[in-house]
Amino acid sequence: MNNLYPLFNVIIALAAAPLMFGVINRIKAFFAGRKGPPLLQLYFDIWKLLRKGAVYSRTTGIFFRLAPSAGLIAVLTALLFIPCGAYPAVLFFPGDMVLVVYLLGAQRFCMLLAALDTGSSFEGMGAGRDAHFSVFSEAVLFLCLAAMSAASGSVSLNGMLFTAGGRIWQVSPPVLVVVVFVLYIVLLAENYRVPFDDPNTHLELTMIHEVMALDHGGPDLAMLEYAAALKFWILASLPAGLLFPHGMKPDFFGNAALFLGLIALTAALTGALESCAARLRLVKVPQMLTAAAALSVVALIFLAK
Amino acid sequence: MVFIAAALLLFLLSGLCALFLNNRPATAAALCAPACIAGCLAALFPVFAVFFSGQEMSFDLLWPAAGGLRVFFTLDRLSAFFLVPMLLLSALTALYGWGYLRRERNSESCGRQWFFFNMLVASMLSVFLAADGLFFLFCWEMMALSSFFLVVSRDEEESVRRAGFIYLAASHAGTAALFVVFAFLAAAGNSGGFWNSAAFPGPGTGVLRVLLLSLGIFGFGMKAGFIPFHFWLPRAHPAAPSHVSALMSGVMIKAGIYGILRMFSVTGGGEVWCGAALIIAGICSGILAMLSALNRRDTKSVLAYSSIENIGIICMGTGLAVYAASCGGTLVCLLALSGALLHLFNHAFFKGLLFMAAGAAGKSCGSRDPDALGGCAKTLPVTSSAFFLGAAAASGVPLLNGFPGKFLIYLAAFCGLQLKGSGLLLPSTAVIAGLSLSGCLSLACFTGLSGIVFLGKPRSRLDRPEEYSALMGTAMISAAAACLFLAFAAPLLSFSICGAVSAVFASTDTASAPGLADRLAPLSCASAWAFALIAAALAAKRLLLRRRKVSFGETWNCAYAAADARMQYTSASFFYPLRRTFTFFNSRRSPAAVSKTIFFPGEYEGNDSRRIGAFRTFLSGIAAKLEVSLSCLRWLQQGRLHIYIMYIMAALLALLLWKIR
Repeated sequence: MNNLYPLFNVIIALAAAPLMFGVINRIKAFFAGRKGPPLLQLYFDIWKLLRKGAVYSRTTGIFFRLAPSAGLIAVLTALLFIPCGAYPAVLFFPGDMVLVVYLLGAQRFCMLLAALDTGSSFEGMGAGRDAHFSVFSEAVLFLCLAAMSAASGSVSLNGMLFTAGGRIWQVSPPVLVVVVFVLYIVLLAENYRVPFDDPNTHLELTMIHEVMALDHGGPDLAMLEYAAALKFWILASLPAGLLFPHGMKPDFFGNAALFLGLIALTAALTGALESCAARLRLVKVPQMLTAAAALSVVALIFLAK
Repeated sequence: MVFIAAALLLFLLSGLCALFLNNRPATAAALCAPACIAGCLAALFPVFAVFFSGQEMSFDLLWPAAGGLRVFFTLDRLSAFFLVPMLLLSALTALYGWGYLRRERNSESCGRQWFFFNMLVASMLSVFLAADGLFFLFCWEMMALSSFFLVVSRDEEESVRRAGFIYLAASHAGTAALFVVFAFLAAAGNSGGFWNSAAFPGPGTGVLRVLLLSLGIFGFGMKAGFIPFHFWLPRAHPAAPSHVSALMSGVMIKAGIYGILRMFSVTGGGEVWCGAALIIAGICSGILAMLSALNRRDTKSVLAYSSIENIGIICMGTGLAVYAASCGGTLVCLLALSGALLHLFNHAFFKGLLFMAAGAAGKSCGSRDPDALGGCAKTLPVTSSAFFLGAAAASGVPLLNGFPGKFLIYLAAFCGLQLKGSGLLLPSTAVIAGLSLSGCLSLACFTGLSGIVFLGKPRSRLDRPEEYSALMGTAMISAAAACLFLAFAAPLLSFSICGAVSAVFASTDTASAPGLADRLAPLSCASAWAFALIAAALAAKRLLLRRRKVSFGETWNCAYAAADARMQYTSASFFYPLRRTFTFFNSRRSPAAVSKTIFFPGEYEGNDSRRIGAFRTFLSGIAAKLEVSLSCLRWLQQGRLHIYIMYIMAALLALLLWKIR
């Protein structure tokens, strides 16, 4: 039974990931003084979309139809390598963090080509911006992983977040806080949240992620939204895994609740940030991410010393 | 041995025949292409035997007619590792070239082109086999010359002649440095069995060793084309016919890496500073080349820059290995060099595929400017699928063969971070940062390029483009199949990779490190798993949509239904944000040069091609200085044949007098 626990954790991730967007929206509604959509809104949306037919643009070809499925599978595969609190990941091997980051890159590859497949300038614009920001955010993510690897003495995500347990905090707690902060910035950038992109905007010219989903519909859009939710879960798992209180030695349900709570906290923080901050000007985004890269290099130097 | 001699004979004889068939291009192609393929397949027998068994072979040819000239060949595990992709890609490009040259309008040069193509293949085969200094240099020069003549095969164009000249000058500068190195070695050691470590000055010899190592890196680096020795590459590759650029980019530039590795094996693993230099050169190549690629408006030029980037990745791996070997990081050294070698192997196939597909698209559509193309995916299914597959591999999508090599180099760098106090912290961090930045940039570049060229609507009103030739299609499909196979087959190569690594670092104990195959196996499993799941997801979607309405409409353009194809995003607009961020590295075009019509920007004057400005100025400055200072020797260059013959006579006479003195 114990061996199956990691698999249950993946099932919890699959089930709870869309909930996080609900949390974000409720927090935003709270700040705005509105009631807001139900927590389970994304589940309703996905369910509804799965029961619809499809409309395709005549300009599009095979890529447009392939990309949502391939992107979802890439993210699903990446999820298997993410440890969940006091339980290990389903799969792990030396260097699996590289595979995880590149799988997220593969999802981006599919999305960008699907956007260009429509021949729409707006989608091309979103794709160009996504390609631009990802250059920085992915490099920052790698530097954070390098810092975590140096601190934990391990070369797999499982080793960094699960096997090392709380020991990673004995190296240098203030520096590790910096790593958590930078990981949170990467989470915001990779998931197209404020201050990098505003998911609530209603002008095609200003969107990044939303504009790339404009022409998708039906089951395709459902897969796309679900993949976005899973990607949020994966990237939130990294800071959550670092902050997880391993000393408490929770049982299975306690662990699941704690981990879910930590990720929900990340989501709530994102919602609060989105209510208080505005989107950065596009030209400022690389500067912000470069600053994050500088922070992670400093952290790496301290942790690897 | 018989097979290799037969292959060399096939290449030479068919090439010579083609030279006489200059006015019958179809016959020349029908003779040379199959001969080249047959030769490659014949040579593959012994190569595969060494590749899989690891037992090296050596033999020598005695040539009585040339005064008892003896030529030494060695087929060891390192040469076998380079020869497998070389022979396979040569066979594929010969098949492709058969279709490519068939409908060439300017058919007079076809026989000549086939002669030089076969000479190029023969000389590459010999370069990787030569165990003799003089013979190696001879083949090296043959390789440079035959590829030069292939680059200038469209010599009626000014830009092609210029590209050819720069290529020739660059490769001769490199060869000149190699002559010095080899002369030193020949003076120190015995002549036969050239790559022997006894001849190279040992670690204690100070300046001489440093000088020879730097000259070697310069000479071989000029062929490999990493920054700062890259400047010939983005000119020569687009100028050459596509099958030649595929061969040059896929295999020929790797001869430079081969030379560097041989040199390290002779010197007992090189020195720390060699590793550091290679890491720096690799990171610069990886990042700067991709930034330059963003400004190109020619698909083959972008691919040439991507070759520089990939050579940069290989350099990072090699450099990290050399660095780690001198810091005592055996595992890091092994993983890094294995990654570099695996990437080199895979790059030959996906870059060959990309060049072939780009050439086919260029032939079908009549243009290589991405902003003039678009929407070819529907009319050119084979070419576009081949290009997408290559682009995905080049962007490092984990399901394809561009990923495993990079993965091993990453893993080596991450392992280097664990060795505290060994001095590996800085190089490992640099390699991680460099690899991730260049990887993201190439993802951005290749999605943009392939999306603009093949997706969307056609941007110019061309006739409906068609697949150019079935032979080219066959070659592309075979190369694509090889890429897919290699995505799963990386663990199968681990034995040969370990063999090649132990040929370079004889001191590192390859057996002590846990198996390379075990480290690569999870990637193959992940690929298989993901491919299966994608198929399942597509099937599930099909099932969902089975009884539902699937309708077709227009792309959403803010409710504007009459969008013109010219309003689509172009490569210039797609890459604008990235270019804007990196303007500090590029010179900027003055906006005043763009004249405006009512809606669209009109023709503009001025120079849009942004280059690595400072380096260019530096190089042309040196060239100008040299030209002025050497102009006093102009009187030597009379331009008359008999005077040159007199020079040769005088030189021979002088040598004779010196000898009998």
